[in-house]
Formats: sequence, C-alpha cells, structure tokens
Amino acid sequence: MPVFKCFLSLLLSSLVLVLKGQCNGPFNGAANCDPNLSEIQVTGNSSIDFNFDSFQKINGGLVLNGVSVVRIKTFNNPALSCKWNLMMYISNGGGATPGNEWETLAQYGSGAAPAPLLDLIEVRVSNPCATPINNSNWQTFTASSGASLPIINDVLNYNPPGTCSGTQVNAAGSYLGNYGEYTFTIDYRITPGFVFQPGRYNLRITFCLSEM
Amino acid sequence: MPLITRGIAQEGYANMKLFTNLSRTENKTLKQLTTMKKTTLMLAILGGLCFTQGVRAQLVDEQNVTITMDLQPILQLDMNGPQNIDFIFDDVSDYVGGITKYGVTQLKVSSTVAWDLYAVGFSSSGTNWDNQVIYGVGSDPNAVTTIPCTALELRQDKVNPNPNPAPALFADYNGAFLTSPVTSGQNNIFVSATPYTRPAATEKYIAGGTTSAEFVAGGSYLVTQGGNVGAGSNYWYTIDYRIVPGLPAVFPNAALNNGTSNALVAPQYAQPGVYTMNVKYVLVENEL
Repeated sequence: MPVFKCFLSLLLSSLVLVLKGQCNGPFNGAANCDPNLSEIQVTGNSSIDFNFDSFQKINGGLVLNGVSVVRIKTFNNPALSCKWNLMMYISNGGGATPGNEWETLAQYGSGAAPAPLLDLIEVRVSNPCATPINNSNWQTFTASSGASLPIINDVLNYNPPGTCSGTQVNAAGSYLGNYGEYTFTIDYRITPGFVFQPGRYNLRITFCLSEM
Repeated sequence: MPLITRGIAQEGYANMKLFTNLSRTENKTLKQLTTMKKTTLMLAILGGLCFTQGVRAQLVDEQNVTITMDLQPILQLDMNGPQNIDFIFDDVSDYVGGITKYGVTQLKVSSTVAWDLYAVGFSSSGTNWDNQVIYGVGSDPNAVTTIPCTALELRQDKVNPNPNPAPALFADYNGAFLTSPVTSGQNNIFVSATPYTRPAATEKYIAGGTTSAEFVAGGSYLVTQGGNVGAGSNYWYTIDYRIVPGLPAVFPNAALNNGTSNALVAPQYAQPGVYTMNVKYVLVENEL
C-alpha cells in the first residue's frame, strides 16, 4: 500500500503539471525566479459582463476600460537573474464547443445564425511606461481556443526596471517599487454587429506569468 | 583437510540450523524489516524527486478573467406617419377614381436578427371593416355594411429583397397602382383575423417570406448595408394607400392575395357611413 501511495502521488503531481499546460512558460530548464515569492495579481471583477440590450450597443459596441489590472511581482533566486514573460490565453471551455466559438450558455430566439467567434473580443493592454507589446493598441486573439497574445515576451534581451523607456521590462521587480513597469491595465471591447445568434456566451482569458 | 571441510560443514550446518531456528521464531519480524527497508528506499527516491522538482521549478503563476456576453435579440420597427389615416369620400369623383395617399407611412427597421416584415389588415369583427355609424335610414336591404378589408390597397416604394418564390402571385406590394377596376389582387392588403399568424407562401410580405430561406439579414437603416443607408436601404419602406369604392360602391378592386375577387356583388353596395379597420405592420424574426 505505501508503494501504491507513492506512485499515486507521482501520478497526481504529473497530472497537475499537465493541467497547467496552457500556462507553463517556455520550460527551458531555467529556475532563476523564486516561485514562492513571485506572483501575478489581477484586480477588478473576475467576471466581466457585456450586456447588449439595445440596438445602439450591438451596432456600436461596448468598451469596458480598465476592468482588469494585472500586477506583477518577481524575485530572483539567490545569485541568479530572473527573466519572465507575461501572456494572455483565450479559452472557450472546450467540450462540445467548436474550437473557434464562444461557449454558448443560452440561445435566444429561434434563428439559425452562428455563435460568435473568439476573435470577436478585443483587448488593449497599457501601462504608464508603455512596456507591453502593442501598448495601447486594440488586439484580437486568433479564433482558436488556447490562442495566445503576448504582453511581455522579449526572448533576446534582459531588461531591468527603472528606465521607464518603453522597453519590455522582464527582470525581477515589483509593482510596489516600479508601478509603471509591473502593472498592466486591460481594456475590453466587443462589437457584435448583426451577424451572430442572440444568446448568452462565455469565454475565459488567462493571464500567465512564466519564467523564461 | 577433511577436518577443515567437516568443520566448515559443521559450521555451515550450524548456521543453517541457526537460520532455521530464527525463521521459525522471528520470521514475521524479518518480513517487516524487509518491507520497511523497501518503503524507506521508495520514500527516499520520492523525496529526491520532489526535492529535484523543488529546486528546478520554474516560476509559473496565472490569474483568470471570465467574460460573459449577453446578446439580446432586438427587433425594432419605427413607424413615422399618422396613427389614423382618414379617407373621406364626399365627392363622386372620389368614389369613381378612389383616393390615394402617397408616402403616408415610413417603416424603419433595426434588427439584430434576420427578419421578415408583413402588413396585415383586420378588424374587431374579423376580415370586414368595422361599421361605426351609418348615414341615412339604412333601410335598403342591398345597402350592406360588410365591406371587405381587402378593399385597402398598399404600395411599397421598393421591392421585397428576398421574397417568397412561386407559387406566390405577388411577392410584395411594389407594383404600381393600376387603373381601377383591377381584380388581380396585386396591391390588396393581406387580410387575416389572426394577425400574428404570418402570411402563407402564396401571400404578400413587405420584406422576406414564409420559410427560413426568405429573410432580410440583421441590420439597420442607420448604417450602410450593401452600399445603401437610410431610405435607400432594405431597412426603410415608404407605404402608399389607396381605396376605390367605385360607383356603385362595391369596391371593385377588392381581392384576396391569390387574385380571387372580394368585391361586393351587385345589386349590393356599401352602406354610407363611417368604417374603420386596423393595419398592423409586424416585424418578426425569420423562422427556421
């Protein structure tokens, strides 16, 4: 029985790694960041509702500014240099939902129009030091569950904080000391138009902090 | 040599005897010790693995945001024009030539779903005009108050963009008013005592049709659709009205949508008086 328990523990730990597969970083073997002290925080409501209840909203779209604020704290392991990236992943929950569509929670009416695609939602990332990729520009995900958009992903360079010069700061640091380089404000925009079947739809965006 | 051999043999024998004696007395204890050794070894391996994982673990952390979108179906029909349209026949020329009112009603559609639009005429009594009052003594048995609602003719300013296919005689009200009398049913309003039952495939729609294949896509007169916007788009219709009583007042143009005449049959004629009917414009989601 103890042997069985050991193998069960190993199996579970492997399963956890597999489940976190969407947010697993480059996995290049580096372990320069302290995983216990480093963390990502998302402030604001974790459930965001876009309620399209008038023609004007459906035609003109809805923008929710500053709904999510991502804050980063990363720490070096002793005598090492931590380098990280920050990604967004989109997911529709899988299951029977087609890979390119929002998850349908309810359908209104009897029409046969298609469900909205995952590239319908737009995101805009910004911070005071303009460190994100495509800072302050609207971006869309590829219409595929699991698709990603990078926020910070400088593979070649190690950029320490403090300059506030628009470079992708990816070294150890904290929003407590360098707010403008370790904080990211996320805006969301959806403009449905008249194409899609009325209904209630759902998706998930994951903000993933990984060591490089 | 023999002695040595024997000694070893004796010693070996003694050892075997000793082991045999132990197996009998402490066999259970030995098995437990063996199991403990295996368990300790496995825990050491597992601990080593865990330690290795801990030392080599990369930083990975995540936070999730769930986004819900509630797309509510919106069918919005704006009607410009008077709620009451009066046709006053106080001259013989009005009876003979009828009265035509141009551009009285503008219908403007904004919809998030595919839609159909139809007009239906009805009254509280069903498919004949409601008689509110009669003029004169009304004693003539040939003077009747059962004027069919089909006496009302409509004309829409542009064709139905996706109408019912054959066998519909007329898919919409776009045809020009023809010189009276005309009994083809070309412009006569669709009449039904159940106005929310959509017209059949042989009856008229302003836009769209009976089955899911005939519809106008979601959109609005406010934004460009197919290069057109406002009154030029398929989301805006201007409606003309005509009533021709005839002389005698048998409403010779009255006909069902399939062309069957609905006029009064002489010697009957319409009793002078005040009559009312209801024209309802129904904007409905395209059905499967």
